[in-house]
Amino acid sequence: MFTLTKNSINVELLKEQLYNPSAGGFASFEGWVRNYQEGKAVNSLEYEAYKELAENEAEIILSEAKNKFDILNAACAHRIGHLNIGELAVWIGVTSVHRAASFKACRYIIDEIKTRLPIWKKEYYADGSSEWVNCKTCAKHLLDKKKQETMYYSRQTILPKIGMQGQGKLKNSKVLVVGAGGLGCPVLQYLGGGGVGTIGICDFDTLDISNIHRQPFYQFEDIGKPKVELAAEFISSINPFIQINRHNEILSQNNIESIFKNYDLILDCTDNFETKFMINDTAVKMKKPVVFASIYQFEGQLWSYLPEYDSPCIRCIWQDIPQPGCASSCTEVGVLGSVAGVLGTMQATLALNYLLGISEEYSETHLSLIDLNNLSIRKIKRLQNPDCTICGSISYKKVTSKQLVNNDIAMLEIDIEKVSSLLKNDFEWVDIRSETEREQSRSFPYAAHHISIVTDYSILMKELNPDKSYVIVCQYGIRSRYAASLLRENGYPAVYTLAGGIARLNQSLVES
Amino acid sequence: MRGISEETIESSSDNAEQLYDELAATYGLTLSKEIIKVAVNDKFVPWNTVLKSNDTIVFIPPVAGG
Repeated sequence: MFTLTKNSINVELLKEQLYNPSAGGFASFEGWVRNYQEGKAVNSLEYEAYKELAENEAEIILSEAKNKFDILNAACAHRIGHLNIGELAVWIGVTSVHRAASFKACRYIIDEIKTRLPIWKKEYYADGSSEWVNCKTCAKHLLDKKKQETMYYSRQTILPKIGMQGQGKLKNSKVLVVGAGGLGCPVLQYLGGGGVGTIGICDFDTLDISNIHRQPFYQFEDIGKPKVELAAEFISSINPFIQINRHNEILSQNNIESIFKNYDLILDCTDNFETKFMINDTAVKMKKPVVFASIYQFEGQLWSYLPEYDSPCIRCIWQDIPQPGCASSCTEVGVLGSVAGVLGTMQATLALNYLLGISEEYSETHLSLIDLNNLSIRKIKRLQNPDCTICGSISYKKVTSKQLVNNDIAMLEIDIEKVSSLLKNDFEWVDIRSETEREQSRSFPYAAHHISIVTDYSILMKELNPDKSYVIVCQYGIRSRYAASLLRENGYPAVYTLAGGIARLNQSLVES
Repeated sequence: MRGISEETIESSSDNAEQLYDELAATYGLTLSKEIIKVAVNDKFVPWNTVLKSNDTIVFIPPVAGG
């Protein structure tokens, strides 16, 4: 709803037109005629517009705002003709369910109107002179895009190790970041700000209140929204010169190769062994370099798999996937937000060094142990294990039974919809989360047998009956999947795991 | 694993495995040796590596938080 008018703008009428009973917020912006411009006293103004083009372009801007922000409606009016000091020259109003979207959309609309609309103004100065000024030149965005981009990176292109050439390398790089959480936020921030030309973000989760303390992109008002969308929006807002690809899905054997093939470097910012090992195995198979990071309380580990330097893979050190919970995730044992920040920032730096071709030898072969309680970094030399089942000289074909777990997921995992039809109520829920987890995080709506597992999964075999049916649940369905596969291997044929865990269950309950 | 990151100890253990067993018994460490890796003087080594005086030994668990 855009109007170009010779008469004074009727704000009350516009507000009335925007009124919507479901609106909980309304934000407006008013642009007034000011009495000076660049040091010269101004007496009055005259606006002239290319009407048809201005109207069409303004409607485009308003619909862009509706698509970008969660708003109900937006309107804009712009004056043409002669205006005196203090008069209203432009008015923007936005309604939304929650206030934040109104503020953002209002800001977006005025910024775009100022730069894109073919409206010119003539300033009448106190000294009797006058001058036509294009609004484009009033806005601070007068630099052309290329020049802006050069200035944007100027602080890092000064570095002798980077320069314009290094910046070009970054621009041509395509990097996939798996996990947009504690590690993913700083990684995305600095790869984005650093100018990696194409960044893919892969995450299946929605924002939870417990994420925000260590994941600085996210705000309270975004709880429940997909993290990929929120992260992509943030990165676009700090660097408009790069391309962001959104992968709002869980990384699995079904999609991992088709996603990986579009990228030159993978950053593992995930929080579970199963995904880390799947990333490792696929990277070795596809010869894709990976920078890994993991955090644990006040400590972290950093290492890279760089096939062109024959660096060892994860399985050269840890042959089998450690059972979930043997060294627990942030959900279970906690993490200090700044530790995730430091490790993610270091991980981003390793990645940028690699892309720039200025990595030092240790990053190819060493595991760095970072302890932020005593500020120590210890680099442990890793060696390629010739017997490694994944990268060793013996070839990729030799796959151990534990690696096959992923292929059997379809048999093991069950959706909430299928639970009742498949098992006909003749089963028991088993919640394996710890007491604290159960108290602090999302609640499980059904009656369940509680078996808290910290590290020892064998307790399940003591407590459960091999002749009965069970569906195991945990927060995200990762530990429960491990538990279910372990039980199956030990003679429990009717054990399943709830796909996506309690997090996904609660999400689908909210949606329905 | 037990809340401190390093300490200097005197031990009669001959190799890395014995040292871990000794520390596990003293401090009640629960992680099994199958999961943990050991590094002596900043290199990953097998558990049966013989220890010398003034060696620096690091026990490394796998970590997955993110």
